[in-house]
Amino acid sequence: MHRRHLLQTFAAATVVGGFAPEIAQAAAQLSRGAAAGLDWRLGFADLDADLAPAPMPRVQGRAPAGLAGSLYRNGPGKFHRPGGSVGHWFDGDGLMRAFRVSGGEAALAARFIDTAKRRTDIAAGAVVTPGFGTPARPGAQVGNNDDANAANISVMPAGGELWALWEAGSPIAVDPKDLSTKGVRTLRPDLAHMPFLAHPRPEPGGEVWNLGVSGAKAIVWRLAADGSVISADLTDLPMASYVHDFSATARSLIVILQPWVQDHMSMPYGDSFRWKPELGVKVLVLDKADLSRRRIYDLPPFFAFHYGAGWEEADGTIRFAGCLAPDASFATQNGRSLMQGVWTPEPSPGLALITLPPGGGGPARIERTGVTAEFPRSDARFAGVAQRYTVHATGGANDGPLFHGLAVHDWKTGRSDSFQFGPSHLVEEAVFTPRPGGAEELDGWLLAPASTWQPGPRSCTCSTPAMWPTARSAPGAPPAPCRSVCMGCSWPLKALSERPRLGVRRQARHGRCPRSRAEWNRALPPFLPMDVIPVSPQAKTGIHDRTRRHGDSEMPELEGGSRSLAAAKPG
Amino acid sequence: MPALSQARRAALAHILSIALAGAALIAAPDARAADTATLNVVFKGIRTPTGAVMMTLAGSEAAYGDKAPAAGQAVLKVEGAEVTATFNGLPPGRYAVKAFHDVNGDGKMGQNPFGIPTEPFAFSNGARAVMGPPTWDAASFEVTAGANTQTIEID
Ligand SMILES: [Fe+2]
Repeated sequence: MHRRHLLQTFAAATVVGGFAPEIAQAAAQLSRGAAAGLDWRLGFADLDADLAPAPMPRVQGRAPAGLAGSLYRNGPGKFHRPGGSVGHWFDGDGLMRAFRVSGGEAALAARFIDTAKRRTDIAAGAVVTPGFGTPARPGAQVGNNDDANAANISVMPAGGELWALWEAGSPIAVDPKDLSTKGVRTLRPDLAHMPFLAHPRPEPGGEVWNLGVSGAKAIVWRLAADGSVISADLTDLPMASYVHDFSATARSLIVILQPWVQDHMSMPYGDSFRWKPELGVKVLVLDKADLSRRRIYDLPPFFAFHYGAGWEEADGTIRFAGCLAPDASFATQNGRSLMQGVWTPEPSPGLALITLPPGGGGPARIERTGVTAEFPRSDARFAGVAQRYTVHATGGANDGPLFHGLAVHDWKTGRSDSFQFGPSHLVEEAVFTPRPGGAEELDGWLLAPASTWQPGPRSCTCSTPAMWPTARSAPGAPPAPCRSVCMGCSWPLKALSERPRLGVRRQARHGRCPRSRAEWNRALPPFLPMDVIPVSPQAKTGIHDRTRRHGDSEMPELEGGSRSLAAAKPG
Repeated sequence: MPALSQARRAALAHILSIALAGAALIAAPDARAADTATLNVVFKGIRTPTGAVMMTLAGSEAAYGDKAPAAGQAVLKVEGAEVTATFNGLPPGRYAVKAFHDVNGDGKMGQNPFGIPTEPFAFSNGARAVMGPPTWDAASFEVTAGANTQTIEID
């Protein structure tokens, strides 16, 4: 991690992680009245061209002193082409965004990753390259995995480059300064086109562990901070599961094999998997020092895209967080249908803590918090060692994708402190960045881009109340030793150049409400205001001084959002 | 994607079926010159000037699928961006070429641990691999009596 680029972090706008989950729950609120909420389809519209660097107007609050750097996010940004479109959200073209913050000002730039897939699709005038949920169409050219590499899941720093990550092919290097594509990174000649998951596990010392999975085999990557390969070893997995993420402690890698298993080969790739709950979940623990030393645990069936960093206690007990869903229906159904603007109600994933006792210590167990959650993140300085907090997106509902809020879960007290931005916001995954000089866990800021549009009689103002204190600054909680702040960058998740809703951009720039769809359609440039609100235990803004038991329906609709502090429900 | 590996392994099997019977061209049996064809297969776009291009010329769909003898094979030492194979005395008809660039000169097509080719490969008629080798219909081309040239981009 570059110290001078504090925010340059594993900003994972995953395909699944990007803001997929976040948007998923807008629905309850949307159902209360679409007029009061932001249509989740906003989050899945195309961006048709790169965005040149441009300042983001600040409309509220101020940037915290000491917050400086670039927040990089990667995720799918182009889905539709005249001759045929993607069949799944996960198959959009990778779009790298850079939010650059310094001196209290912010700027945004965005550029598509120049992949072979994108070039082929552009030349064909159609999405012809096969993918997770998209079939191969005439004109496809796939000689190896990287010909289909969408580079659209996440981003990691490596050796002064950004690596745009997919999960079934190589990293693709991007220049952190101008976001130009530098090319496919073959980590070793004999390992060209090998899979490299989009959620690598960095150690605080700089080394990075990652997996690549094909069927019931995995390659275990161990990289130096400069991206060079320290080791790359093959290992067998107990099941041919779909693996999107894994966990790790200082000593172990934890591979969760869920019962969505590959039983044949077909395209789209996702069609190769079957949901077989009778298999349950198997958790493989590998010793980093000797991959042949392994143990396997059994758990009841669940599906998950994302896990938190793990830790190991003195007696060898391993714990890690996960965002668990009942089945793979997002991957198999809603991830496809939402590309047509259709969402079939399904429960939001929930935050859980998985415990693996040491050998002979009994069975593995799952403790469910009852809190809706996706994109679990934590303070990277504590990766692999005991952590008290997990940060995650929350506030989704059954009847739409994506999320409206953020939360910090305190595993020590069981408390969940959440901030709901309200139905007018689609909130992305939050990333923690430490305060310079700070050392305590979560002493720093959360950065969370969000899409927003607040309509109303006189409120075509794009305000983003993004304050959001941690649990420790909550009323009744002990004085906060840290200053957790959320910087909300309001901007379109996908600049909706063809969608009337993008009128907010014009309004943001010109300070007035667009009056018609035609006017909205002309709206440019695609920037929304950003606001930065410092939060401290003493701050009284009238927004976050009310708490409720967890549950969206009980939250007051306060101007700009609502905060909730709740004890987690026992599992 | 991992899913590619099986199909790619199939492609690999096709390509590895090329017999590496020395560096000389092995032409099809000669026939009467007036009725036969000459075919120049030109490989262009080579990025790494090392090793050799190894190719098979198939004169039927069966041969293309390795179920019948090939009409010709060649190992073409690479020293620049382009190499050419010449086949004389071919009966006119439809043919297809499959080839790979053995960049490291180990005599075989490199593959990663999951069976994905790591060395460039190509097919005739501009046919592209899509999760496996292109079909005979896509890769085959007509060879007529007299001189013929088929140009293939590889790498
Ligand atoms: Fe993800």
